[in-house]
Amino acid sequence: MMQPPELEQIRARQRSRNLVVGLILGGLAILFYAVSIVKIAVIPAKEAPSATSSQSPGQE
Amino acid sequence: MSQAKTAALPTDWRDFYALTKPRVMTLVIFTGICGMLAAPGSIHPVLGFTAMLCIAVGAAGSAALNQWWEADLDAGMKRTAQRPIPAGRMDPISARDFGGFLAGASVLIMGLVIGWLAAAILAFSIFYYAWIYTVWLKPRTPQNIVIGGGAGAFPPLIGWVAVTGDITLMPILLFLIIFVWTPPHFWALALFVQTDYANVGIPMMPVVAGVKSTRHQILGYAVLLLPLTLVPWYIGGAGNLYGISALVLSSIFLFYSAQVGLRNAEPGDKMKPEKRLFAYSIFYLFILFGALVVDRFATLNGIQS
Repeated sequence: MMQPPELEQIRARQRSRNLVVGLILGGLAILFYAVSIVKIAVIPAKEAPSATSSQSPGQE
Repeated sequence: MSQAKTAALPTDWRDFYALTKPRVMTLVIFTGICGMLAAPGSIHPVLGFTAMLCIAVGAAGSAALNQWWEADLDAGMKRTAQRPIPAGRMDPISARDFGGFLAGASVLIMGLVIGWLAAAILAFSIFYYAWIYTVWLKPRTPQNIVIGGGAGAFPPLIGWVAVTGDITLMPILLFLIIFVWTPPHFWALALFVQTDYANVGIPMMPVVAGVKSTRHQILGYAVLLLPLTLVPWYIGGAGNLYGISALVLSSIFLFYSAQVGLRNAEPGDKMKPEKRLFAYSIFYLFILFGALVVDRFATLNGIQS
């Protein structure tokens, strides 16, 4: 059977891994949100000739 | 019992981090950013950051795949025996999957956020390092470092293409500069750590062609590097600030390379010129690419014409 100290060590490793993966996923979520905002704002600025409806503020 | 304990213990996240070769990454990130900043045009900081992240994660993925493939070789070399897989802290399959996932994710995100040309070059650079270099050429030819230098030469090219969306002569020149810089940089190191590579049967130039030939080749590449670094200035892709920096930096590089190239080391030699050339080569690349960026901003702000 597994000794409690070993189990504790395994749980500690799992916790630190979960924390790092969580931080990375959170960071990616923020990044993708920021990228989406930038992409929505940037496309009309390239004076798209097509009938793309502009949704960005400050764009006539 | 102790074996079962090691196997049951999940790999520390720090070992996954170590698998990405963070130290090599600094040069990858720096030259990538320089390529991006030196390119004509501008990129939104958020997109620029994403492009850099993709280049870094792609490099991390190929580093992990490289260590998965070379675990048995790494185990036989003092410098690399403590890496996560040969030291038994990580299951090779985890390393392979980790590397493959990073490589795939970086290319996909690059394609969706930046563009598919940059993503295609990134994908090719990962394939180049993980397969053409690691699997195919490194165990076969003493020219492995010359060709492998191509893998390290991609970041500024990708950074540039992320901004401009097309390939012109300038980013190719940045690629060539790192390509020609790599052999003298690496062989200087190989001259003072050569025993390790001989033990695991990797055909490094000093082992195969001899130390004398390696020294001459270091000098040869340094001679080639000097005019090559001046080409961006000559064709008008960079200004005088860069031109003068390149001339001074490359001349010093040539001087140190000549000291290494034209001497013979006695047994028990401290290999000081080789260590100095290796240390200078890293400084050299940082300052040269930094000069390229400073030069562009000096031109943009009217400090030089």
